[in-house]
Amino acid sequence: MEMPPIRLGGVAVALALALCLFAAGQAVAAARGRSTARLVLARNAMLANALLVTLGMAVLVHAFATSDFGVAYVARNSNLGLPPLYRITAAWGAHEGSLLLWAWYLAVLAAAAIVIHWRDHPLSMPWIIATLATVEAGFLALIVFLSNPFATLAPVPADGRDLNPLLQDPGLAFHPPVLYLGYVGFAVPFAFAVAAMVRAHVGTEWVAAVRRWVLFSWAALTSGIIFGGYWAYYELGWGGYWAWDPVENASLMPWLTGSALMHSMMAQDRRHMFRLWNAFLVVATFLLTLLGTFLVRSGVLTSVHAFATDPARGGYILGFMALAMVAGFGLLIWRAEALDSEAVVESPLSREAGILANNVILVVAALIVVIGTLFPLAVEVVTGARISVGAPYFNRVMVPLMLAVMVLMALGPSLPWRTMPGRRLAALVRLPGLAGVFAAAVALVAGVRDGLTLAALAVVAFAAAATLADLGRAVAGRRHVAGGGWAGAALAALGQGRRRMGGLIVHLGVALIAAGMIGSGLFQEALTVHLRPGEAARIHDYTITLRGVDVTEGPNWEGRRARFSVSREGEVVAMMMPEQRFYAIRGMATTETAIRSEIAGDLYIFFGDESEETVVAQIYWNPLVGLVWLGWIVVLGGALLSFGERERGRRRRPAALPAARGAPAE
Amino acid sequence: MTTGPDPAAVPAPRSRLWKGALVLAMALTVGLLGIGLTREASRLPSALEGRPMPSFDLPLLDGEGRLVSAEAAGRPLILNFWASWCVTCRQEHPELVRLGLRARARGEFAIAGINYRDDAGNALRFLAREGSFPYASGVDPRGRLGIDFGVYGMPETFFVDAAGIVRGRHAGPVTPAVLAAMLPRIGVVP
Amino acid sequence: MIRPAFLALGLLGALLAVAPPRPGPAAAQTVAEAPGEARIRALARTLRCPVCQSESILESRSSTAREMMVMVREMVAEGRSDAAITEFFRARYGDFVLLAPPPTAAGRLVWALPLLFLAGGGGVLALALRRRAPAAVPSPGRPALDADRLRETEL
Repeated sequence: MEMPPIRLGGVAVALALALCLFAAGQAVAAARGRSTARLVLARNAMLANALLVTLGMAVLVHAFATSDFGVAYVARNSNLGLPPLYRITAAWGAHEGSLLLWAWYLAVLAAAAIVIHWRDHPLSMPWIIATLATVEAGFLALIVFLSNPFATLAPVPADGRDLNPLLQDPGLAFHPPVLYLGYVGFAVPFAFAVAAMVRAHVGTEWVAAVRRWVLFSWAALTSGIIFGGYWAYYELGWGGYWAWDPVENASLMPWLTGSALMHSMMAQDRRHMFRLWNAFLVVATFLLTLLGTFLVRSGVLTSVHAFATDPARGGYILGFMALAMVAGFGLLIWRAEALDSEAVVESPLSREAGILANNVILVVAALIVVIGTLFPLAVEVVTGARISVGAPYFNRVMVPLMLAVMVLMALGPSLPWRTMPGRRLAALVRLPGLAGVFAAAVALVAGVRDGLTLAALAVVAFAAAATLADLGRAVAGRRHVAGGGWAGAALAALGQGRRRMGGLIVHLGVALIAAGMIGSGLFQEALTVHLRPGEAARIHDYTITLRGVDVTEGPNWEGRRARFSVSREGEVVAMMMPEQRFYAIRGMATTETAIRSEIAGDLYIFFGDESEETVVAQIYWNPLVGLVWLGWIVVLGGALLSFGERERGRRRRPAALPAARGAPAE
Repeated sequence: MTTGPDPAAVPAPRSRLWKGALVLAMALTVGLLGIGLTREASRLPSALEGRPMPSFDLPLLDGEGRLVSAEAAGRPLILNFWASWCVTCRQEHPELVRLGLRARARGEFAIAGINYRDDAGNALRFLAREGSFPYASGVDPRGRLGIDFGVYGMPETFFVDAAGIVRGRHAGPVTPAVLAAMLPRIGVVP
Repeated sequence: MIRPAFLALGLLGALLAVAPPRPGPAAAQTVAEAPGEARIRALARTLRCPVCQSESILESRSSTAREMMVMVREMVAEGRSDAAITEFFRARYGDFVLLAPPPTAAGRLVWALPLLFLAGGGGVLALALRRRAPAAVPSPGRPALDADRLRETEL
């Protein structure tokens, strides 16, 4: 009998699970017996695993593309009326498929890591393979036994129950795949750290090897978070992009520790410092990605009437996370003495001290997000009462911390390793400091009285100016050495010091994002008006007139669309048409906002509760919100540049080299 | 690979401190999440517990007249919020009908329904299909009374004692086990 | 040095150009916002939609949240204070409905935690900086670093 294609997917994934277990066993045996043959077997098993999981993923996507409602998961999350793009993205639109996507990423990244580092890390390789294979096996087992996307339905339904309408949006179609790439990417540094700890091999090599992996994962995580914000901005219709939702917080936790890690790794690379701390951060970041998975999928935080969640899955992920925690932190505790580094921070005015301060703040921030997210659960478990920890709390607590990080971000790249004279620091901060004071002063004159707003403006101006000054100095220095024009010098500077210039560009992007957040968060103008057709409202320098309300229809929804004309100084500049949609199959309503972007800001309209003749329009003017998206592109560009830094033959500063070579150790 | 005895191998007190803290944090996190996972989702404490029941005066779903809170005074009251669009409401329906028949037969407590955020036509069709309640239901089309009671979702059932004090709220379908736990609180033998 | 400074000031200018709302001449049929809407938005941001994950009633599109918005509007029109309106919902839904934890025992704890963490972090930082006792000795040739270099070779 011919095997139906969907069975092929299930078989491939089950086989992949067996291969992972085999690879983990062989890898450990290879480490113990120093057996190259076993190591090669383990490697090949992991490569085959990547192929098999790819096949499984392809089978699932194919089932969605062909609307094979004989597959239970497809029937639950797709529909014949679904637009073609979402018919593909629906594959990861719910629990089972998104787990498979996760496992597929890990399989491919693990194979890539094994191939890339095969030659350079022969002694660590068994433990790297063992770790990656175990993590992959953990996810595959969850898929095979508790979340099988390949399960079939006995009477094949004529049509599917449709994708969650909230996910029928480009922002959310691509948010999970990018975010997961970031989550999964941190498994590779974790594997290297485990290998280094098991072997008590604690130098700088593993840090140098994982630098790009961390950078890659961080950039993907950043992009995923930004996509999620963009989706929230676009789809949820309240003019904001970050709600401190537990699901959002789950992605922010590893981002914060990952950001700390990127900086502290530099200190280990250059100065052999923070070795224990770096291992801790790698383990913590990986565990936080698992914690995020657990929080999102177990339903432990979905507050109300969560009857539908499957406790077995939650229990499994918790067990898996506990195991990873005991293994990761257990190794850390076991090897702490070997990892402890003797090098010390010599001066508070040094790059090391700056990195340390940056790390302390970022980790405190991560801790606050973790605790704030879990706190309601803790209160409920201890006292039985139910409380909420939401946006007002996080905004109040996190904004000052992030401002402090921005100050360090501005200063850090200018600080040399080891130490510097205070006078030089004073010279460095003079210009950016002036920019900050100027920004606050102008805002004060313009009527801003809120202390935090003034501080935020000053800090962002300071950070932007300092970063630009750093970049300018690099270009000017290059021009001084090589001569020629500014453009040539800029290109040369970018090409020569990719890591440093990339870092500075990332900082610039972060300052832009912060400027966009301050603009749209603190200077947002909002208007709630009841309008009849023909009536108008004014916001910023626009007049917005309701022209009418139409009935509209899409492939799998019907809705109402309000037509607004937007005019400035008497001239119509745009028509904006927000919608309310009703997706009949899921019985869900969504709002589609209308957004008109320009450099100065976004005009943002949606409409709610419509009565017989009036429309309640929510109109926002979000100044500078475009800087958030622009800043993201700058961040990505900087990360890419830094990624391009050649790994081999990189120049080491003499400071990192011991002067007395060959001195007897121990 | 040299991992010979480190001169600093004797753990300093500070090192023991962070190790202990890390182990404690791990245990607390896993413990908390584990308990969180096994906690009953339907156990929702009500802010009204121990306080007087909000009063109401609602039109009836079926027929003339009104559902008035004062009429239950002096007797324990069971108030069930339900809706035709709620799937779990179907699950608890037989239990509620049994409870209603008992109330009608013995009169030791009163019971009433609140049809919450529903379309009257849909609600009546729901009753025609599942069987009518042996007691009256008031309608709360905009959910105002639901907000007064601090209702989160459907179904929810409130248990009020003879003095008009709210003694318990159950979120989710009513089952014999729920009644066994809740009825004694309002002085009714389960 | 001039260019970066110029760019920074340009950014600043862009930042500040947006601050003051400019009132323009009203068109004939222009509808103004009802008085109190800004206050309603600010208040609604602090109240949690009881049926949502963690949205405020301003953000949520759920019918419960929308009805709560209507009630907030009604109470504002009746002249009730923010505190009274907050208390109205708190009496019905408990502390759960407040997105910012109130000053109960648990609420105080969660507000205090960031300060405790920050103090702890500051302690760690101070300790690390104080450990630089042998800074007077020019340190590049410290034997520990050589031990590191030995450990770090792969084969």
